[in-house]
Amino acid sequence: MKDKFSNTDFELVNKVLNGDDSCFEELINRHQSLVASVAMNMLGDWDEAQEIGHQVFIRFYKSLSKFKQEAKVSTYLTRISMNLSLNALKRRKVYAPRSYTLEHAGLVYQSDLSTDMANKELINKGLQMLEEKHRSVVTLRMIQGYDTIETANILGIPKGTVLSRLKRGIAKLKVILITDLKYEHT
Amino acid sequence: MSTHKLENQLKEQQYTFYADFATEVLEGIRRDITPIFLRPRWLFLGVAASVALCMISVYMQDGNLSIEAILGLSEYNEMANYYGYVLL
Repeated sequence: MKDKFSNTDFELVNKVLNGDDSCFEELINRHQSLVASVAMNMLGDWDEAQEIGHQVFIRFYKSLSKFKQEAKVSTYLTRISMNLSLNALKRRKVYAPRSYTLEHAGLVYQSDLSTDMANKELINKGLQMLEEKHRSVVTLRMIQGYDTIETANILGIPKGTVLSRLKRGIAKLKVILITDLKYEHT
Repeated sequence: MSTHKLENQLKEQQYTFYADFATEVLEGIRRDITPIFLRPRWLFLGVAASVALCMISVYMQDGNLSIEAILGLSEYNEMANYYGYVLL
């Protein structure tokens, strides 16, 4: 009999549905970095990303019985993460408008973080300065590695729109990083 | 900065939650889901068991399950009650 570590995602889902909640812990451990990456790259705020992470897995747990196992668990979780992150961004606009100023980015620039960490922070700040529609495509396509069709399916937009938003998003990000955040000098 | 370099940098934009994340989520789920005794099936079973216990209790006390026994009126005597009240 296979232990939970060697089970496929679908096998784990079936075990959870049969009452073995310990298998859900394994699902969380397998996919938490995926959820963390989507939320953090979309929101740029660690506390908010963690909150979204909790919500993603709670929502997944509640919808397990409806999960048709047609899509991969990772794709399903990415879709929930993206939707909840976009909802959080909408709430942020309504309740607490927040903008990432150059002064804020400068704090990162001058921080004591290692170069890799500083670059990572700086690129994250650059992503936050992109429009949401570009950020979501760049996050899924370039960071999470989904192909164009998968990205289009997750976001519910046409394939051509993914391609055009990706092109514009990358071009804008380059300008932001070089011109606004002086990325080349780090 | 070349697009290729930027694409490679973007691939590094991976994050991970802390070690206890899964435990915290599971605790959250336990808090979030409806308590077991409030789930419809258990609620129905609880009500049915309570009614059955009441019936058994009535039967053991009065030896039957008449309406009077269920309402607690099997030993109620209106006249005795009246005279008891007058004598007081």
